[in-house]
Amino acid sequence: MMLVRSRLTRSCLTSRFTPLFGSLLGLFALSGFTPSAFAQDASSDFKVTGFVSVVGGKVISGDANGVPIASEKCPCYTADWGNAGIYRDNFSLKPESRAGIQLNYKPTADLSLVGQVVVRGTDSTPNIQWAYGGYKFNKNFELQVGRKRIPLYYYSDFQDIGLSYPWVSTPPELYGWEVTNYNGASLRYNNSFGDMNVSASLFGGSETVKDPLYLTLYYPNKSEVSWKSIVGGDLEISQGALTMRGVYMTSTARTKAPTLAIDDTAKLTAYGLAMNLDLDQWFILSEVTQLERKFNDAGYSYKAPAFTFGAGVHLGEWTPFLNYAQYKESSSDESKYAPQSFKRLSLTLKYDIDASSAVKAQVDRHTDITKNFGGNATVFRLSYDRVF
Amino acid sequence: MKKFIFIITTLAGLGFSQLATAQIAVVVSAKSPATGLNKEQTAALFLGKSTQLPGAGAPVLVDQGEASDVRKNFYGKVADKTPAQVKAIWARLVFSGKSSPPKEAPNSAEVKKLIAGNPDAVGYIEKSAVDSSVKVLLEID
Repeated sequence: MMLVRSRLTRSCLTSRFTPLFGSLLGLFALSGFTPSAFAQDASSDFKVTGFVSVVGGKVISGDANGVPIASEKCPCYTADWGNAGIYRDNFSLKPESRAGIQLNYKPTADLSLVGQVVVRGTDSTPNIQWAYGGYKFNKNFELQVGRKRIPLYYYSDFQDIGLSYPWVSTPPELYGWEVTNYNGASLRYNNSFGDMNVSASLFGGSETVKDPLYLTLYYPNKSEVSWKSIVGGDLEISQGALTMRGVYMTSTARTKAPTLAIDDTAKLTAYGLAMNLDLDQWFILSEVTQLERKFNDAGYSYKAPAFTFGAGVHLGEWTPFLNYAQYKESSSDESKYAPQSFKRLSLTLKYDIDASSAVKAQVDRHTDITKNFGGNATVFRLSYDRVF
Repeated sequence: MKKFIFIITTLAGLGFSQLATAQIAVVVSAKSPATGLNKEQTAALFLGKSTQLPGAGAPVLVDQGEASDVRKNFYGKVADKTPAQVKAIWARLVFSGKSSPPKEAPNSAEVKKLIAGNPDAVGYIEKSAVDSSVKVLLEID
């Protein structure tokens, strides 16, 4: 998942991981004292909701001679690429723990204002994930303007909400790029035809990230990533047990790291298809995606197809879930870009404590197929997820 | 005394389990233009998949209290989902800004009060609580 040519050096990473666990714990405590603000009070047009995921884990076995990640030696496992969440052979809560607060204000029935701030174990600054205003033209169309998540894949919009999926975290084979948000606008359409429900959107905007955590996986130097001219659309159709979603997006992605003399621009094209089946007890989650970057000036391109397929069963409060995921790059010129590939099998057991909180345990067997990023690893994780 | 409390709680428990099998009615205001719903449409509405009440406009959903048996039964019978599964689905919609969760009223009487005052509101109540202020769109056994 490297963005630029493999000439990058992997020198010593200065520690930028000084997590604001105070804030995280503060939010966590708040969640305990806020009785179900999640449910909307019958009369209020202002409401505060939030979420907490405390995730801890360690690599229990793996290649000690795997290629280092973030300049530190392995065994290691990158659970969250976008936020550089890496597990090593010591137990840590840092890589994936997070908490967020969301404010919703509805001044009128057609108008809404939404803001969401998230703190993470890997990032000491609270980040604004969402900040937008929405206007409903009629019962079918809504325009939203501001800062949003890029709805690149099925779970992108709610990737931080651990309670909303059966894994400890979304499959990193798909959910892990250097940019996750954009500033711009989207137009959403909703309608129902008999028992079929349709939701579609067009979105456009841009995003610039200074020193993205993602790039620290490769090198510690100052960098800047920008995705300009983001244009995309998605279509989701659900009927009965079946939900299908397709997405297409293009952008111009530029990566700059002046001290390494890197300034690469790629034409980025991504598409994906998700298919979920929700039977009474059994359920299947699957998603196939491909992201391609064409570095026209540098004269090479690479494709990164990925898929995830999992099945689970609801047994009262318990939900076991088995998943397989794969990420496989191919490069047009391996001398300019050395492809990376991974595959991973995971087993998760989720237990619903109550309607708003759950604990999960997960074992991942991760294989570094191309043997050029971290090496193989077996990881064990526990999580506590809650919304309030 | 302990025995007395035990009997009371046992009786209360029996009462609840009776309630648990009570019939549920999906209702709107008597003034609503909506005429009926099937089970799938009801599930789609209350799981946030659909934003249209057939025959009417965008509905205002009304849930019963989180711990209530009516609510547990409603989602169990209509969608075969536990309260935790339902919450997980709404968490996706709420934290991605796609939708607001249903409003909440503590019991059938309060649901009726809300519905009477809002022709867009859709809720579910025990069938025994149905009166002329509401229109039944679906009965669930």
